[in-house]
Amino acid sequence: MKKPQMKTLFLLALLVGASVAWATTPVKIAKPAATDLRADHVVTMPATKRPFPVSRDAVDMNWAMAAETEVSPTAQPHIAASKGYWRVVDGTTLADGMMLPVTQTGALVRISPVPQAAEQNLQAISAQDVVLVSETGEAFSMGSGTRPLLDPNMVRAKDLPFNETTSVFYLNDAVGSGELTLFVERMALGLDHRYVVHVLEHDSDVALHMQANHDTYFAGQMVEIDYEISNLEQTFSAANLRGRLIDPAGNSYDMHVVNGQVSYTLPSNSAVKQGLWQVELTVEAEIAGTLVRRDARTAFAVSQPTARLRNNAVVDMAADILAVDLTLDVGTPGRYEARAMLFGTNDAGESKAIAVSHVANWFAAGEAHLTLRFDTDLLEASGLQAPYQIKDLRLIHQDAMSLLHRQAQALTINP
Amino acid sequence: MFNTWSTLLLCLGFSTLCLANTGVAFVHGTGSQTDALNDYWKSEFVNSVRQGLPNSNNYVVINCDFEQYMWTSGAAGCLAGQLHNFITSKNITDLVVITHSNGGNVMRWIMSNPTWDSRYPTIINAIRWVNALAPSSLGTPLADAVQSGTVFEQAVGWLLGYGNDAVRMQQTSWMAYYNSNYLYGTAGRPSLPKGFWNVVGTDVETSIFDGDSYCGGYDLNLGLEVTQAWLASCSDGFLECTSQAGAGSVWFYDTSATAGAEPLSHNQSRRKCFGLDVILRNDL
Repeated sequence: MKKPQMKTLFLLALLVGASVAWATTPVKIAKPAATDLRADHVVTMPATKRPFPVSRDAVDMNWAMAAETEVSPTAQPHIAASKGYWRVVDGTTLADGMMLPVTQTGALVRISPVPQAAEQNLQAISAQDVVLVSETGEAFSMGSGTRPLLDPNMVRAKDLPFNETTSVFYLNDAVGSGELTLFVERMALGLDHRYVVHVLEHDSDVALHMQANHDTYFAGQMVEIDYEISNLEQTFSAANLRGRLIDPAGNSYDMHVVNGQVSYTLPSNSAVKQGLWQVELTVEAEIAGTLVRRDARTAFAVSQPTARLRNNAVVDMAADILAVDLTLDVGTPGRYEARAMLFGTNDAGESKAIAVSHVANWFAAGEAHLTLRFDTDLLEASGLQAPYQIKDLRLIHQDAMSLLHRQAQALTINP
Repeated sequence: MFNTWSTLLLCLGFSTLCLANTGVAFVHGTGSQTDALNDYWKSEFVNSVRQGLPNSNNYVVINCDFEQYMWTSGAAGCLAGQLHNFITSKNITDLVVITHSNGGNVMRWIMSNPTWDSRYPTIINAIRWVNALAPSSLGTPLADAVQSGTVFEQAVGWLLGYGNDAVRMQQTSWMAYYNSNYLYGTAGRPSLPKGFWNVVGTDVETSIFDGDSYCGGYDLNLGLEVTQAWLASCSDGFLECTSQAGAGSVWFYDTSATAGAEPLSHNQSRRKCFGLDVILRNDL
């Protein structure tokens, strides 16, 4: 059974330039926790490095939240889990033999030629031309070591999400597991042509988990990677550890690996570019005398501190609205948004969610104000009382898709 | 006479619905569409669903470039423009939005970021709810699979499109970031301002001897059998069930509501297969 339509209250702000300050109750926003995100200075990006502006309209909106909505005290970066790996190799490597470590039988393998510039006439590698040599030296040729999912010629006709010259097959169980070797006997493309070889072991119990220490950084900060390669019973030491960063423009940077610690200090002068940075981690480990290979990737954002929130605010509880006026220092002209959640207190003294508010406007450099508004209809409907709390307070540079401030516990309002 | 009086009495009791002007919008998935009615959805599906409207002409089929990041002018900006124009030109006060795949992300962007564009609040205010068919809410490992370092394997076909940005965005780590910071409706996050109801496809069935495998196109369904190999056991061939159910609320899992309890592949969930069109029609 579907729920009935949620109530939404909409106010279109008629602000021009900086909003009028609410001269009622000045308050101090709580000091951000170590796990919060806060710009401690602002920068003026040169015009050539500024993002393309999106809008100069002032807009705000607030709506009710389910009372059980919670705000996590810390922002948890994505934990990547991988049971596979990939390599970019050339035809010579495939012809001479490529080591293919697998922890169990039946791995899924994909080989795809990498287009070079505007290359046409790519040719797939046929599973019939793949030779697999087991750990014991037994060779499986003429495709006997593979179980194709699809013939490359059928791939072209079937409108798949992969490159139309992708070869996809399972390894035959007879090949076994361990450190296999994959050869390709015939390739239509030159030996210097590049291929992606992707191995996925769905049913393996050996996985690489990795996590960046934050999901959002300011330019110039250090990225640190936590990782673990383990099976269901124990964790293993990693060898041949490599980390690489790829920025939104596609530039790659080798991460520093010292005593098993993976890190990199982000450039401080990067242009504001939409999209995320990616971390790729390549790990090899020895498990029961067998080489295990795992690659994983995750993503994070990098912001330039183009504006910041000051810690002073003004709260006004008028008849129809609860307003929180925030003060910004704007370094780079642009469109900025504040958003936050309002919580109230129930009869048991518990903090429960009431509503969320968003407000945005375009500002020139200098002091600016954004006012979060919560309609008192929503407060009344919630049945919750003071003290109220402002949680999950955020400042976003909309033009740049940049998060500049994120604070789990921002303000307590006790009129 | 009796029917007129009974209708009037019902309207007095349910005045909002009776005064509402209901419309439906069809929002496609990844890809750049210029004729989504015929290329993406097929007209038989759209024409069947819109029969559920009091005025069957109150519908719009969106055509935008969803190969871009969801927040761009070509994606959400385009979607907002067409929805806003539809709402205002036809005075739509009760809008049901039907999305497929990545179209759910673009719609969720609009609903989660009302201040990004002054048109967004008008659109949000008019929405009754969103019916998200196989939405890509948590991304898909397939998007991860076509990216290896700086090598981007140019993905082809309707599943991932020909462009880069939408594919990059649907990597699982990217969607985790955007769900944590810009999108609402996932676990632990504020709820969306309007309902977001998921239809989850749980399997791909292709057999040359099974007529059901031909609904939506046998070739496309066969391709999804291959892509299923990359995914968890519950998937529609492109998206794992957990991704489809990751934001908003589950309306139904395919086999619990479709004719013959048939699963909906990622291709079939945008087509007139197994009574899906009737379910959506009745929901209007």
